[in-house]
Amino acid sequence: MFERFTDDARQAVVAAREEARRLEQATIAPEHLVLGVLGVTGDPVVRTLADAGIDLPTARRAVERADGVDAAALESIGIDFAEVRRKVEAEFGSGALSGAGRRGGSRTGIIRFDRDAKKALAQSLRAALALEHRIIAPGHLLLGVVRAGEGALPVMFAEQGVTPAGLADTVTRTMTAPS
Amino acid sequence: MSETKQLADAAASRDPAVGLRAVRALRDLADRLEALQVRSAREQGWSWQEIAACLGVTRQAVHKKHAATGRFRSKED
Repeated sequence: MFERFTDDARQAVVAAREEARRLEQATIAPEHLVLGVLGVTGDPVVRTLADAGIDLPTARRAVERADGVDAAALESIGIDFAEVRRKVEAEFGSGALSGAGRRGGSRTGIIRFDRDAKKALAQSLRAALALEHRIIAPGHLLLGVVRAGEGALPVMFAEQGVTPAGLADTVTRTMTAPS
Repeated sequence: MSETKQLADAAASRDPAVGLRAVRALRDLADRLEALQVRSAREQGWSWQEIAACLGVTRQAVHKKHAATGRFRSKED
């Protein structure tokens, strides 16, 4: 699958690992992939998202605040994590819910993709095929994360009013626009 | 939010993988809320006994779980 990746997409994957390392996580999760993609500032999709208020610093803050909470799973039982966080932070300040001190950096120094991130990578290939694209660019990686529907993404860009579906729409429109 | 909708539908389908994942996420959230509230209670001068009573656990249990984080020290520690 990686042989279809563009140089930019490879760069995004490498950056995803660095983001996970920076956040002292033992594995690479889908949200780290999102951060990796947003670091490829020359990509048209990334530029479009930046115009919509979604850039690397914003996304980093969102990931640091969610800090590994599985928002999608909470939503499946009717709990709106973004709302819980909003209420808690209103009383206790920004980042109050973060799991500081609970993190697990990798003991071996090797940071691998977790199951959800692998799913997202596999789905990025599907997303490319669905658009009849023969290569996998950074935008396809984002579509893969949305398709995999895991982790922190549902609340990541809630403040910008962007849902995963909305993100996918924007990415797809940018990637299919005649250049 | 079609992906989340799918997830919600899957939860209703009794898939253990989805249901257990929700339990884990809920426990994770509860742990964080507990750490936050215990820290706040200690800062407001609550005793471990009072905190334990509210949480429905023993004083020893709550002390063991939260005293070691080093964020709040008192004579009681």
